[in-house]
Amino acid sequence: MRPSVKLILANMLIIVLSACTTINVDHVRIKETVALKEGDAMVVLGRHQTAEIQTEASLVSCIGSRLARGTGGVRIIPEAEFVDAFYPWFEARTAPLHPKKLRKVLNQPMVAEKIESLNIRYFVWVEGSTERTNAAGSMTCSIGPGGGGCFGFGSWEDTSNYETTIWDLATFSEVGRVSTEAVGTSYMPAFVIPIPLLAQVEGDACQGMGNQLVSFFTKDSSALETRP
Amino acid sequence: MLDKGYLSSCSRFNRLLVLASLALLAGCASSVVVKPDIPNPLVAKLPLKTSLVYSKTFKNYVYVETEKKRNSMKSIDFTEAQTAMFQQVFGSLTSLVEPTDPSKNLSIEPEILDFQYTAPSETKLKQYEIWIKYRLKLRNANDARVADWIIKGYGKTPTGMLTSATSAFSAATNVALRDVGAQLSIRFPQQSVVKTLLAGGAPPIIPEPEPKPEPEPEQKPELVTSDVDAEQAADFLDELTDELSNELPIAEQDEIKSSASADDIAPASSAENPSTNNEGEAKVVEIN
Repeated sequence: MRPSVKLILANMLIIVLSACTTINVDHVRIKETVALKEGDAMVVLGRHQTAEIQTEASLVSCIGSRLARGTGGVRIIPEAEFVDAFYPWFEARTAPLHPKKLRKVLNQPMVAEKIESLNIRYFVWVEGSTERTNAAGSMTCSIGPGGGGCFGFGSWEDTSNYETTIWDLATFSEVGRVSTEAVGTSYMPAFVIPIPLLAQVEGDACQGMGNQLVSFFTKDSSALETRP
Repeated sequence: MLDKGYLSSCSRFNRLLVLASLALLAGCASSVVVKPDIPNPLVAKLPLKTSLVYSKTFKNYVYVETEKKRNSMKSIDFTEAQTAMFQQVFGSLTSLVEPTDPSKNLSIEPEILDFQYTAPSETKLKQYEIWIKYRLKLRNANDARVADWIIKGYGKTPTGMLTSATSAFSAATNVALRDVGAQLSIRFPQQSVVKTLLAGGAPPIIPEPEPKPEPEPEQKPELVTSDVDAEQAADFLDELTDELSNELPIAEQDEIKSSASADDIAPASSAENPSTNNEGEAKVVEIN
């Protein structure tokens, strides 16, 4: 069998064996017009201000990649690069929680100068996490000189809850908000070999949120609600 | 009768099993050496000359875990990382000079008051956490005490599929040191001592604390050990904070109260950080 055919078959198998995820995306456009021109930059940052709030770096990076692909000429500055470059102003406990506080941070001439030199126009804050909300079943695995195997059935449910807030640096105000809730159940039947049927909850949440953010910035606002 | 080949393969399998078990056991507790990973602060340099003084205890500080129940870490050495952090922060905020330089405005001596950690196996949370508490002793050009600042840092690292405890503790310590550095970088210019010096004045001298009784022979000041389990960790630093608050002179506490009023820093919940407590924050913490 040719390698490309094998690859296609493997991909089809993964798709067939993947568990399902239900996603709910809510969005609010606070400002009607979003001015974004080529050469502008945007930062996608995760919130980490308390132990309970630990937005995954992988999700922040995933949203950044989707925005970079979807918005064309807009440059997305990676989170780690931005936070290091602007240390100590955007650390877990020092990052501004409101646009007005951001204005205070930008009162620092060195910070304002750097923001300007990077052409940063929007801040996208992501807050939330993916948690294991349910698990059931059992599985036994054993190994010996003659071989090994697993028997049983396990399932678990993961829930993603994220909220993305968009700040405009030109007006120091919030211009939009996207909330996502994704629930997915993964299964793992095992008859000698465990077969994982995994729900990509975080990935699906990223996809849902990323698509919505892209439409927010590309003015494809047919599906977006406008707040008076 | 078993043939030789089978026996040989069995013994090879057993050997591999023993080696794998040893590797797993060795992975349970490790000695962590934290390498510095803190960027240069983006802050304006103040027209002040400061010197950093590191005591022998500070330079040789290694946290050693002696509690047998706690087996996620044997010891952690972050001397290099914390020294680099203080050098970078104060090097960006002020002009660093030698401690013997007569033109210095301030000398700053950091002291570790406490160090705490938790591992996912202890808290059932998917993260490694580190708390560090420092006291910064500030002296003027004549070596007279002008302020004591208490500052606390918190760092956490989520567990990952391929993250070892060693690298997770190392990363969490660097995050905690970044936290300390961030607070210092932002708060330093707002402190009354610094404001007075910048205005050309002389900050008031505060009395030296009464000498503490000699430690018990078995207590080694440079070797901090943990006598608390993970469940007690949340209360431990609060108690320490209260004790410390009683030790500090009244004038100093007043100064601390007034300087803890800035509101542009995200509040840290007590659940997040055992070392933070609303009352404690207001009374004791000058830079937090």
